Amino acid sequence: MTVRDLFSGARWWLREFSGESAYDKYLARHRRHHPDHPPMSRQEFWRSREREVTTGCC
Amino acid sequence: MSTPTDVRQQYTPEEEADIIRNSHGVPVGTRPHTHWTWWKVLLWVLISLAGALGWAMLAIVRGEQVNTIWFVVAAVATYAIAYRFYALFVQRAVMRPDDTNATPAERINNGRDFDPTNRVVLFGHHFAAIAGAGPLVGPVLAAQMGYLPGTLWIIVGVLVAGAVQDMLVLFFSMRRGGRSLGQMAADEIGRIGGAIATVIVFVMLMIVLAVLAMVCVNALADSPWGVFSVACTIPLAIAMGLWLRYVQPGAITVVSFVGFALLIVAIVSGRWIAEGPLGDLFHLAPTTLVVWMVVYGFFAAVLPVWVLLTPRDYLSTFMKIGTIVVLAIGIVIVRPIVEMPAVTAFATNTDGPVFAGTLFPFLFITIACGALSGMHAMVSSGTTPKMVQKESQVRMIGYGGMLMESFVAVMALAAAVSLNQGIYFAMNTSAASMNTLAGPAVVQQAAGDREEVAAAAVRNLGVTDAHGDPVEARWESLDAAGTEVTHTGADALRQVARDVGEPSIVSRTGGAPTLAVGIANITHQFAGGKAMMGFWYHFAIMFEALFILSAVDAVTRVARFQLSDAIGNLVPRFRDPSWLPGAWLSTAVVVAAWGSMLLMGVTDPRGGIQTLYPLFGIANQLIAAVALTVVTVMVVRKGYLKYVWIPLIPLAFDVAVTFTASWQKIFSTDPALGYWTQWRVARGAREAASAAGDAATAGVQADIVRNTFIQGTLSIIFLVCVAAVIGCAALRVIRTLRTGDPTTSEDPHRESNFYAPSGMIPTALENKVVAEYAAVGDPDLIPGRRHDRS
Repeated sequence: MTVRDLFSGARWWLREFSGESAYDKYLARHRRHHPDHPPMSRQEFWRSREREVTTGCC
Repeated sequence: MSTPTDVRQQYTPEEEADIIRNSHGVPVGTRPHTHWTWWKVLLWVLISLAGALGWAMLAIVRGEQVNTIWFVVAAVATYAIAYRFYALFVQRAVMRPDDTNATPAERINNGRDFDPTNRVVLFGHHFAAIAGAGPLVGPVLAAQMGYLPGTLWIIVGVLVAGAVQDMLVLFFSMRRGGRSLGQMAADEIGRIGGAIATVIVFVMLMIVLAVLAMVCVNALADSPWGVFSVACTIPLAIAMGLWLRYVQPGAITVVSFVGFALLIVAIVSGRWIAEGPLGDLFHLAPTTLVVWMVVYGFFAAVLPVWVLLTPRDYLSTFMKIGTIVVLAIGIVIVRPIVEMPAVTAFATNTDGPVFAGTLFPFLFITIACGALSGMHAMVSSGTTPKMVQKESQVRMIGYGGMLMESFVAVMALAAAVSLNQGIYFAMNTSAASMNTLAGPAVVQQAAGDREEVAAAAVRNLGVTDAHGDPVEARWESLDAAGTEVTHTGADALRQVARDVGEPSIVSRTGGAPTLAVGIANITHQFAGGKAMMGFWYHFAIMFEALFILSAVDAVTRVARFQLSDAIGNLVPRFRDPSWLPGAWLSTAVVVAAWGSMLLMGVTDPRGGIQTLYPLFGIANQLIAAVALTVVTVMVVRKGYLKYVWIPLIPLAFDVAVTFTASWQKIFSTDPALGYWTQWRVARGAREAASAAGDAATAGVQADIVRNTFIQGTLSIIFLVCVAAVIGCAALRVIRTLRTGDPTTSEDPHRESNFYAPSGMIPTALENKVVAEYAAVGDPDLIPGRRHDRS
């Protein structure tokens, strides 16, 4: 376990928690299923997946 | 790159026997297996001993010097035992997770709401969604009864009630494609019961919002520093939203970090604003804040989410984690001594200045979140069930997430009870009760000096401190030369206000300011000293306010959609969310619903927390009763009658608590307690005052008449409706038992093709299976680069 591993580990968890990694996952999946047409751009992607809010805490 | 056969050869025959494979030979789960080794037995013996020691220190040894660290020890050890043994028992008895069955996330896997999410990440999201201001406010208010009743209820309640409810609702919703509580109620107990449940939950949500908003208003009223820093979050969130939309889409982590840093700057600079020429601009009266709150709620609900809601949620999550971590570190490092006795006289009489009512039932409705909270059933049947990867993970997410929230409540209680009792009561007694306690002579003599009135009121409370002496406000601070001085009485109250940078701390009801003083009182001892107290106080206030504002706009928005849908049955056009007049109208109705109740609470002559908080607690616990009823019916219909006591015990207790509390609120002849007795008394007083020509008193009494009428009516409606839901459920249970009706509303089994570990930390075998799945599994389901290796 190097410092670099630690850093990339921390980055991975942060991106997962914040949901930032969603675009990369989308790209990978798009490449597998629809290699024939180009994927959405970063901006298009984030606009398309605006989540509706749900009732939360008390 | 390893081939499937390579990976398979790594297992020993015993390990292979523990792996569950689907019809294609793909691993989808591991059989739970307990290999008791001597060191595991020893570990659990040690955990049990630590727990026993913690409880003994809190409940039996007591003495004059109880350390708050024992709260942490008792809580953590008890949680560990409950999670390992009771939650596992419940899982095996009534959940029986089947990892060969695909979860909704795996079935639909659309990369949006149905998204198989790493279990640790989902645990974090679920916890962030259920933990709000509730677990922090309730324990602070309940501290008037002493530290022991609250601690016992938070820890025991969560084990058998709150965590069980959360876990079972999550599991049953997951088995039904992530259906909501209202939909499940309709499926399980029939359309009428379901419709009543949906409507009543909606009304209760409005009460919950009004009370949460009132806590926020009470914390920010007459506090320029607080108002400025909280107001800053709005432009800050909008800036973050714009940046994420147009400049760096998706750069959530970086933008959140920068936003959080700017938030800290806003808190720090609040002092200069408050003390500078702009101070008056941010010095707002409670009713002004109500107006701003309503305007804000309206716009937050009608604007697109990316403008305000989503970025503010990022900030709020940061503050949440920040405050909880700071508080935990503070309690462990500073280990403050408890100032509150184990049990006070307010546990058995109805004279409590914070809220009226005896321990049973009012302790159990005052501390809702942290022990049992109906609101969690919304989250557990909302986003979370659609994201679970494997059925066997539900225990960790549902039960574990609620244990975390309970732990937050324990820490809030520890912070509140380590505060001097005189200061605690001075902060939490409403102005009206204070005048009554201090007596007219003192009030007249003090001539508007609230600190003097408060000091006299505290002397007349009739409670003793942990040493058996009369309670007096006492506060250690530094004088100009930096030497430590102890202030007492009114002086102490003034010094607290100076130290935290507020104009006054007297009658700052609602729990948030008390908790903030408690947190500042602990954290300044290890970070920053007295000079930093103001910062820590406003850091805590910011955290509470952000939570509450998030809840206000999120619930307003959701309620608006529910209302549009309901109106849509009559006027179809309302169903179209892009039709602006419809959106605005339904939002306005929702905002008016909670806004009017908020205004009523804030202007209540007897103190809004005193009068409205019980209604909030009852509403929240009645939602829990509805959730537990639905769960009970599902357990019976599933054929697990033998284990029906698992949801039935918390349900029975919750029904006893809420119905007794509602009964007392409706029928009690004690004017401190019964809404209708207060109503009659106030009506008499109003007529007497009008006859005597005292218009001011008549006006005040007229307010009380109106408020108690509304509160009393709501109490009756809640009680009748929930009784009706439980009645419908009982009929359904009887019918099921009589006919042996085997139909279930669960989705049919569908073979899973996915593997992920069950617990927080994977076992050696689970790691091997993760490696195998990475080679043979469905690429759409294989998690990212790091897999699930921890």
